[in-house]
Amino acid sequence: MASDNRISLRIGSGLGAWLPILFYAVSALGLMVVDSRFSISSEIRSRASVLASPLWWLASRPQALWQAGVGALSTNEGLRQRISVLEKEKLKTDLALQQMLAVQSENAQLRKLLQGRQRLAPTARVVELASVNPEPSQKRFVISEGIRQNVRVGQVLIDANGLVGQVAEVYPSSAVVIGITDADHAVPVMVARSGFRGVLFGQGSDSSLSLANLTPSDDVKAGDILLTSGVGGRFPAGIPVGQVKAFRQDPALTFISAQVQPFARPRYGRHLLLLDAIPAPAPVPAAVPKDEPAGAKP
Amino acid sequence: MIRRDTPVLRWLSVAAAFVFMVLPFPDWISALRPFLLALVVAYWVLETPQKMGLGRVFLLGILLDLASFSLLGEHAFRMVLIAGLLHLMRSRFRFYPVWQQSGFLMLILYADLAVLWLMHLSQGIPMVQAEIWGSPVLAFLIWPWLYMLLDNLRLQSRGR
Repeated sequence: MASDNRISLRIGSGLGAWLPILFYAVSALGLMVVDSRFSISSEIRSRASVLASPLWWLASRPQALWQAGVGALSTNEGLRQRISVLEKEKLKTDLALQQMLAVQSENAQLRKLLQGRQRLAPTARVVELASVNPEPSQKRFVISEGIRQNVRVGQVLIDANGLVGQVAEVYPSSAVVIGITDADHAVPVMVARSGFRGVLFGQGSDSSLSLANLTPSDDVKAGDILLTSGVGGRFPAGIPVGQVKAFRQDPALTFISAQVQPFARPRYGRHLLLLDAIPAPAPVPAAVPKDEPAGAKP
Repeated sequence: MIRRDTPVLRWLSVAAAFVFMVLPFPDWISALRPFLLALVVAYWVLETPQKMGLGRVFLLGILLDLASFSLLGEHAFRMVLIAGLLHLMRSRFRFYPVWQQSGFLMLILYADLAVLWLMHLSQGIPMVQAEIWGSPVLAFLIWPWLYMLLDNLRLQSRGR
């Protein structure tokens, strides 16, 4: 135990022993301040993304293994049942799609009559989720495609249920997505029923978004479906975002905020749809009201 | 008695804990995720303090910050505080019974969560998940097994 004594002498318990801790703690605090001002960490991350990709690959293994296991262990009977369920679903969506086609052509004609801009049907491709941010309050995750696959900052991600988020940082072969539920994210939305427009803020929680700054006269009700409004040009119009659940009076009693349950569930399943970049909108005239920020504020 | 060092086991266990910290989980599980990297680092601080100095702990924290998209220095700060405390009280801590060690680590991790909460508060980020306050309890339950596992592997790999 001689060696132990020597070490404990070296580490000691006097004031000097606290110095290294103090030194590193202060350096860490300094880094935090510098990073929050100049965001050097995203710079470093983009330089070191080649080193990080094996990490994302490793981190996605357990999930992949689990899914492979579920696939291998599922019985013939179970698969048959699943196929029949899916076939029924497909019939239903086919029917909806037929009606949709009719409505779409009608809509295009009406838009032509009104001389409005043609709505662009967004095209999309499937991307794989590589990793999720372990920090529960930050809703960022990594997808396994990047600059090499032509992913750009600002591209929009959706899943089967609704809007997921947008690409915030791109690296050679991966990209960081900021979710709409992140506390630093905002989406311009409109109420499907009344057409009321507003901005939906993330709150860092997976189950709740906030439609802030409402007044009692605004036409928003519990149960209303929110769609992207297309204002700002970042998100294509008409993507389902969430449903209004409840209202809450602000502490200052001037505004009401609505709690909105998001439709998208990016934490379940491994694949998301990445919409192709939409062309930049026409330059905005100067007299645009200020309460409609363009896209997000990452 | 000559004690052979086991660098391979040390860095393998640290790497495994590191990957565990960035594994994708559903939200509530993710909030409950124990700070496993801190536990593994704590083990090596207790057993081979010369090889797990604060500089290395600091670097590990920076790497975790980069991998987990947190503010640069956040995990580094937390891990340096935990490892520094253990460095200071190592000679006593090593002779505690293992459950007492667990309890002590749980207290340290609660203090660590309070630090995290303060740091988030200063950045204006709310701690939304209440489950996160359960993660030190999980760490409390994991520590004895982790300790035994690493101890056994270490004794085996140095060929005693």
